[in-house]
Amino acid sequence: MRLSPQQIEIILATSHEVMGADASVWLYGSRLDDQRQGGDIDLLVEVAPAHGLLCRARLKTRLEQRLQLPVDVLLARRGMAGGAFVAIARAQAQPLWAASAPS
Amino acid sequence: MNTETLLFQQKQHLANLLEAIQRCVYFLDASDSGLGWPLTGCFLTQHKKDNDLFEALAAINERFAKLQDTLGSAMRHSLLLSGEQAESFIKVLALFEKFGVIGNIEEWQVARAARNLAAHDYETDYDAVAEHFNVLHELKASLLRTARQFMSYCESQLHVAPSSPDFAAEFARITG
Repeated sequence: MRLSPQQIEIILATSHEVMGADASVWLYGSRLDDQRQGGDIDLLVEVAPAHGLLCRARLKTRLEQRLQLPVDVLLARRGMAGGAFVAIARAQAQPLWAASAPS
Repeated sequence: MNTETLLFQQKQHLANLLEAIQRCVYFLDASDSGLGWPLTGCFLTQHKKDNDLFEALAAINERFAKLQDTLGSAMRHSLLLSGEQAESFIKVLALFEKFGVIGNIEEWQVARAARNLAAHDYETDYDAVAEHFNVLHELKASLLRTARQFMSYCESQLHVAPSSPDFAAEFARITG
């Protein structure tokens, strides 16, 4: 996973600030591949159904400002099926809260 | 080109941008006001082959983006006339937040992100499509307020008005 502990901390803190403390955050996409370089940070964020497009836009805006990197945010509403793209992302996604836990 | 001519051309360019802003407001409002709000996924599913409806929605997308982008260009250009320095667009926004033209920087950026997010999404989930347009409809009020305040700023601080009065009356009615 190509994220520093500080970047993970910023992602989790900002996600909880915008989406609430019960939001779960996963990383998917090219940043999971240690052999590659650069690229967007692709996040899958599981939230309560009440959070919509504006929250997603706010989270993207704050993360890009704080990380100074392009960020894509995909929302999965808790308890709802979600589309095929969410299922594909979820199949490869790695949880960030596990990555941030002390070993 | 001497300094006086350059200043005239810069003012003329801003005047043209102001007219473009008024025009964008007029057409955005025209597309938006013909629909029943809020939209629902159920309604869009029932009308999924309604060309007039989806043309109106496509026009809202385009006109919302055009208005915000034109406002951004005009704000940046107007700083040349006011003598303010801004090396990046975030500094342009910070100055216009200080002038009271935009509510706050994040509000502007979230509107931009929201419109781009949905424009790139795969559009067969009609609940998501409805949500996207409901958000643009909701954000429209803030964009119109910014357009009105920017127009006032240019007239009072820079003594620049739109290059023609063609859309002035409608602009005043819509943003009033």
